[in-house]
Amino acid sequence: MRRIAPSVLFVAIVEAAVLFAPVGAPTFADAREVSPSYSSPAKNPVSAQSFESTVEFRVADPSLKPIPGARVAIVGQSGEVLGTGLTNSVGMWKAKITVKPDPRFVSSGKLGTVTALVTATGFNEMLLFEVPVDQGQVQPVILNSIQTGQRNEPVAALGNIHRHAYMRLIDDYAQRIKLVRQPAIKGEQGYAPWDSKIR
Amino acid sequence: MRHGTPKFVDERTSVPDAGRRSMFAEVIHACRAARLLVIPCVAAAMVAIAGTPVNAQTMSTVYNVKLPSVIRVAIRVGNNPRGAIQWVQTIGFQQYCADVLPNEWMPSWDPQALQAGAMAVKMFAWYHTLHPVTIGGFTFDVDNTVNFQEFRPLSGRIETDRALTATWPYAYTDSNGVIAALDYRAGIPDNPNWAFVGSQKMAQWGSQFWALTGLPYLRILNLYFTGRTLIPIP
Repeated sequence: MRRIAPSVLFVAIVEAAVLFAPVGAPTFADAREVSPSYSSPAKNPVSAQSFESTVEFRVADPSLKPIPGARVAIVGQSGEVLGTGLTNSVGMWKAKITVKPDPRFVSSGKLGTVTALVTATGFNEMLLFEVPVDQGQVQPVILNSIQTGQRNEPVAALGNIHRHAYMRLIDDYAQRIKLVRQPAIKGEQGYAPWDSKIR
Repeated sequence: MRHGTPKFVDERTSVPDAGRRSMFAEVIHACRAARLLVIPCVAAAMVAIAGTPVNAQTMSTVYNVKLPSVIRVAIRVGNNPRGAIQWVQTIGFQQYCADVLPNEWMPSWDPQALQAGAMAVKMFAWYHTLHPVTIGGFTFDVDNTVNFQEFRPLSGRIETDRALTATWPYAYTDSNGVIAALDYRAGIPDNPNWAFVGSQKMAQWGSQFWALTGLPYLRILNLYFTGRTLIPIP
């Protein structure tokens, strides 16, 4: 009977251990946030073709009084200036914007995002990230008045992305990275947040 | 509602204890007129109020409480439900509903889903104007987050304004007209949300699902809320 060399036997045992390791056992790889093996959601593929939509900017002061003559500048996804305009007598400017769908919001259909810079005489600047571009979209902007003796620096905020849009984004990415949901919340049938655990 | 969209006009007021407050004021006035001390005056007023025959079983109904003209909204930082309250803002009731609906229901949804949402948003808010809360020294009816309903000033949309206008003359209550909150949750997208049917909570995504099958808004409401009917607001 032929004898197996000890080194060969050791390698076979290690390979078997790796092969039959329990699925889900913690490994260092689990600590990584991104892996090429994660799937991308292809349920609702959205064309990457550009589309045009109108976004209505409504600029007001903190008492919600409209600010006429405020300047709104739209910055596109590649950093280019897509256009600027001034608000009318009721503090409104309708911007026609051409963008590509934002792939992060694939499950919400055709939804683009841009950055908006808003300035007005007597007010601090406002920078709005992730302004959604969707047909008929409304983007409120509340500017702070300049106050003497204060620093009067710009303010940054997020655009008016709908609750249902960002909830779907969370669901999409949670499923891609295979998160599991937390147990149902007592007395709450509607929603259980995703957990840190991966299935 | 702003920026050229039709603005609701509602001069009606809702002060649930208006009669009792009025009585309090009258007693104070009478005492002052009689040059009495303020403290006995207040005490007398309290006794007068306590002695008023008030039926503890009296419910707020659409027949004894007018639709509110304003609502007090606690503004939390960044619309964060756990954020600190910065201040309390008094807002026109219809304006409030107009700046809630597009943030709770997606304006691109079917008009019948939006009308079901419009009714829920209004009844929820109406109920809470009758049940204010005090937190951290602030007294308010609702806050601007999903603790109550997501409120964002200046966010009204034409589509959602239409839904509010169509449903504004009506309330959705039990047969006695009792004002109760129509509660709701997001629900599961593109799904009938059977778990919510008959639960006294509406699924927002469910309302859109059923609207797309052709159900009118009243039947959508009836799916989720039992024992209620549509009645004209007097």
